[in-house]
Amino acid sequence: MKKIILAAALIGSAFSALAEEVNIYSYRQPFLIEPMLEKFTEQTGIKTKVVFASSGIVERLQREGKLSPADIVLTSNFAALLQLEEAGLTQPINSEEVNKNVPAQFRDENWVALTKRARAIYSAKTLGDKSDINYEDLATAEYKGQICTRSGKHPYNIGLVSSMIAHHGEEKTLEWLQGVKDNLARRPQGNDRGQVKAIKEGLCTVSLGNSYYLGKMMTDENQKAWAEAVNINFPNQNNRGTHVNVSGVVLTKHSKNQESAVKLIEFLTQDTAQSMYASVNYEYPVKEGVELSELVASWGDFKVDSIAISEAAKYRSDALRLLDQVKFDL
Amino acid sequence: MANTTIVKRPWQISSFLIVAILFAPTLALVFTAMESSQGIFAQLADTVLFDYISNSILMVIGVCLISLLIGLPLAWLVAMCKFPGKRFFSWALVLPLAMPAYIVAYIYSDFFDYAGPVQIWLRNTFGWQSPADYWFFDIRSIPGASVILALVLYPYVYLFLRSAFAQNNLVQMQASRLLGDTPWQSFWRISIPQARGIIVASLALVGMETLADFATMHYFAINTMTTAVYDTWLGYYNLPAAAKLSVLMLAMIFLLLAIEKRQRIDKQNYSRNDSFDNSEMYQLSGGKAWLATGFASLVLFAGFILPSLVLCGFIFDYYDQVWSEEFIEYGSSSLFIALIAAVLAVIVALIINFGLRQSKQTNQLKHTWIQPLPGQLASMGYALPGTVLAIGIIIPMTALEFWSNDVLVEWFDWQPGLFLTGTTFAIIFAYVVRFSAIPIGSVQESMSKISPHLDHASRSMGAGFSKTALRIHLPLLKRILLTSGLLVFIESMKELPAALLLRPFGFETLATYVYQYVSDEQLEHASLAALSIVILGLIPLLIVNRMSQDSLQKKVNSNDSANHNN
Amino acid sequence: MVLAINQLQVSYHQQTILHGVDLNVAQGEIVCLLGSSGCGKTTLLKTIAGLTDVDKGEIEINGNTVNSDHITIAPEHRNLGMLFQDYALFPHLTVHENIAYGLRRLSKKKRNIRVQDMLALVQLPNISDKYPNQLSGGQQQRVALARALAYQPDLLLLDEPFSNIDTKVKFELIAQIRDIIKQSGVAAIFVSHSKDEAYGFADTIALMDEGKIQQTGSPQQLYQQPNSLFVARFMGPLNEIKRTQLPQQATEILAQKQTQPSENDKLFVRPESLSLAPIVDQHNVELQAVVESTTFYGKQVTVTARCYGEVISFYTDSQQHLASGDKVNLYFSTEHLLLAD
Repeated sequence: MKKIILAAALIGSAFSALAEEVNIYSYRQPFLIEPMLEKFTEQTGIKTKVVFASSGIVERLQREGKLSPADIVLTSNFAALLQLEEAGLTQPINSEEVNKNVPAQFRDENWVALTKRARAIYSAKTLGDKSDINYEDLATAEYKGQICTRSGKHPYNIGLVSSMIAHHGEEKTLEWLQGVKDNLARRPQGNDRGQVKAIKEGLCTVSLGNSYYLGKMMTDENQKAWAEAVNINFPNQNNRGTHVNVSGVVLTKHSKNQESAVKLIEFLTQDTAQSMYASVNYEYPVKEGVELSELVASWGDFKVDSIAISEAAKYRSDALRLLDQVKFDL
Repeated sequence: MANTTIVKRPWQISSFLIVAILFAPTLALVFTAMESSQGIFAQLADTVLFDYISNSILMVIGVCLISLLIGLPLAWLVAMCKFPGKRFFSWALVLPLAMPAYIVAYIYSDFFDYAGPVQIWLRNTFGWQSPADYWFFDIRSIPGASVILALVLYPYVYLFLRSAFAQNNLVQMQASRLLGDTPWQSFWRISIPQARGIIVASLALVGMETLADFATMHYFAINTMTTAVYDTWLGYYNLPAAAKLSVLMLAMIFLLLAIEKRQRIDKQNYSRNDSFDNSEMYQLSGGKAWLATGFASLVLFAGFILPSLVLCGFIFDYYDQVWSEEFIEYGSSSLFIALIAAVLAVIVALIINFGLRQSKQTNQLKHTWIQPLPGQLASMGYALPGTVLAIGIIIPMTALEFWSNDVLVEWFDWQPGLFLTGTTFAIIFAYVVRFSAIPIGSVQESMSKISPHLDHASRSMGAGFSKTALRIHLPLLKRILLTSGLLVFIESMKELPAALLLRPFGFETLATYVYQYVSDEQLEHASLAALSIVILGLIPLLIVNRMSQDSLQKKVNSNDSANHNN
Repeated sequence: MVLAINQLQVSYHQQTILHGVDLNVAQGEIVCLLGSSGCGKTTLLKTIAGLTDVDKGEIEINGNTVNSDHITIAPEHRNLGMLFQDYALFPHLTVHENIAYGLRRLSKKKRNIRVQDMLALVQLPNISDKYPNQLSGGQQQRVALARALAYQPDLLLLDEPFSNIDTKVKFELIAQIRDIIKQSGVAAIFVSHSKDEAYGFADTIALMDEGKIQQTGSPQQLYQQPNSLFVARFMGPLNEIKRTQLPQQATEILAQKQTQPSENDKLFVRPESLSLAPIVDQHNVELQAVVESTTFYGKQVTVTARCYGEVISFYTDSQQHLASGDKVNLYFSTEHLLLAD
């Protein structure tokens, strides 16, 4: 028994690193970030190691405490950044380079946003031009039985509901949520892409979805037809602007390779990585002046929600409560 | 005095020790559940909790019912009847066990979705335009998910019942036939009542697998207790509330286990294994025979062949994207940890069951309810959803790591770091906690059939308990150990959530590799890896099946004596 | 005839187990299928029960054909009772439920009466609510018998019914069960490998070997008038002495007796036919033997002796004191020669 434990322990590879390297906990799928990490290693000679998990990273970091091998955490939404910060698992990044690259509204002492994505409303081409659509419209009778969406409790939707609370207050948001739920064509399911597919098949006519999914679908041979059936609309352009979510990165409190880790964070905010985000995953770079992918650029410019994401994120648990209250997913 | 008793009962003592270790994660959860959830739990109870619970219960009932409807007739047909293709189906019907449920779910929802080929074909054929024009079942629903899970879980029922039917009561069935029963009547009046214990035991497994399933439920957007634990933990960031939900689930599991326990009592096997020859099987002919073949083919097709074909189709379509160099590495990692977990789980099962037998024989425990406790507690892990288990493991394990780091730094100025959670140890431990219920249960079952007379004989010749255990019981249990070990192996190959959460840096299993694509609804790109999980799981599955068929022929001859010594 | 079997042939795995078996059982008759293991007796029983398929031949039960070239009647339609070696009581049912198992067509009242009658018949009146595992082996057997008889079968089949019973109580039980069966008037066939069980239980013995019935007849017939050396040897101890070794006087007397041609170089005689006292009889044969050993059995002593080179045995009463090396004269009547006319 002892021998087996010992053997198992030896085979595991996560003893404190000797060579220069950065250990990454990632909420983002490896195939999204690997191209950038390879570039980084190429440029700096610093190796990277990734653990991808769609859940539980914060908990794991918390438990590992000072023994944690992780240096940075990549998140796919803003809520996770905030959660890491609030749990005291981060430390200030302190980098001139980062401050120079990322506009102040997209960074804080303890976190940096890397990409932006709009919470868009996709509409069937058959509906005609819907570019003046508002999130609020989704609760009106016009869309009765016409809406498809993923789970209300997905961070992207929680973020949207939080911003609704920030703008309209709880009572109005609850009403709105109930209205949207009543308009659903089917129980919330799948991911944003699946909703566009459903529009193509005529199951519904509008759906909520992040902007980059359209890019992904346009470039996938089998999914191109779905994408071509819809228009992407940036809601609330005539008033407060479209809700935007961010992906981001934090430096962990107990990072053992701080220097290399900061180098990686800096690299991720520089033009190379930023434009890779834009071209590989069709997201909006946070760095100003980085060229959008041709496809993303073709969707046009849009106005971003006036309330800062960090402000809206405060209403997160209220948003969850409201979602449960209307039994949005059930 | 106390010392001598410990020395006399090493198995019992070590079984309690092992259980303490295996039960630690559950205990950690229970303690966490006692912390305040800041009103979140109450809030859930006011809104959605009831739906979560009823969905879970409906799922368990649905999957158990469908698994039974599929597994029981198939087991009966294969054990008792001759029909075309019987030899093939006998092993092939086990194959769906190697299919991860979430892959089957993915493939079928693609198939039967509104946007899937089946409904498109229907619309084109009948000229329907919109969903309002016709009714079609929603695969992403509780009935749909029940069918999907039952398609991959029925082999448990099939495997258990097949050997039960073939081993137990041929003579009794002959007796009932001679007392005027038709084959059908004899099936209902003799085989079913006598197999009741096994039926319930296998359904308890199916029920627990269903409760613990996350990936399929999540993919189908069905909110069960398990997905609620996730949501609560990851949405509300509230571990105590999540732990409270987990404990509620544990209570449901306890209920399942208690039901199973009740069924095991008084289930004495009377048959003396009269030499039985296959000539007593029912020879099905004509329509009946083809009905049997057709049913078996349909189940095999739906549970295994179609999903495999779809995976092969993906590989063909995306052949340039599915291969990667790391692939072999992921495969061998999966194999490696699954093998170690299987071996450890078997060892755990042996120690616990030897402990149980020792405590029964020495009778030193005044309270008999303590005797089966180690087995029951150690089996609890089976019911823990992977993520919950992972949290439960991280809590005590990191505590241990902190403590030992502090001690080692102070004494030797050496900081080993996360030597448990930072290595594959944590995953392997999770698998052992989660899956040792399989060997514990089956070893217990087999061991109860070993006559105490064998023990008495061995001990009368001067062999102590341990010597008897190793020289008499171990060889007799060899087959069941291998079989249940291989089942642990297969389950470990497929396991996902715990592996996701507990793996160290740079460590990837086939399942985690596949999941990153499934979570993005792009199984196509991981189709080769998905097929590899299936194929690697197939090899041991075929061995398991081989063994359980052999055991039908060479039957253990010791089960009668237990009846006569009372 | 309750049972008539004509030229039955049965095979299993391409191997012929029964080669042309004929057997008749009359109303109320108890027949023993006797033979050592592998002789086909259990297969024959299962074939009668309909649990094994038939290649050739016919079986009739109570005048109804249950097996022939075109007909195979399912076990449940043969109206047979069977008592299994391990009793095959259903462990999940009580004694009452076990006995009532085959009586579903009766009304509840009649069923209860029948069960009570049966329990009275097997002399176990007060156990109807017990489960099989609460009974002793002998009780289980009688319950199994009650279950089979309650069904009122045309023919009762018993598969090695006494092989699991202690010798001490075995013969008591044999007598009891024989009584019960005789009382109920049912015809019965039982399978056994023990001639002693057959003697105690059967009206007629059918001795089987290599898939054939070698001889059918009453126990006395098979013991005293075996039709082959196999039967003679199977049914009891047999002394076999080469004729060429015998003295003149014996050869002359024996010459008057024809033995079966195939066995004509030996004479066959049961130990109890050998006597130490001369028989005043013209068929009297005298042999000389030297005692080798004696075994004391209470009321008699079995003596092993060497007689013209052959080892033989005979019985004396316990008053006689023979010791190893004693020379004795043994006498027997040619009337008692086996396998002779």
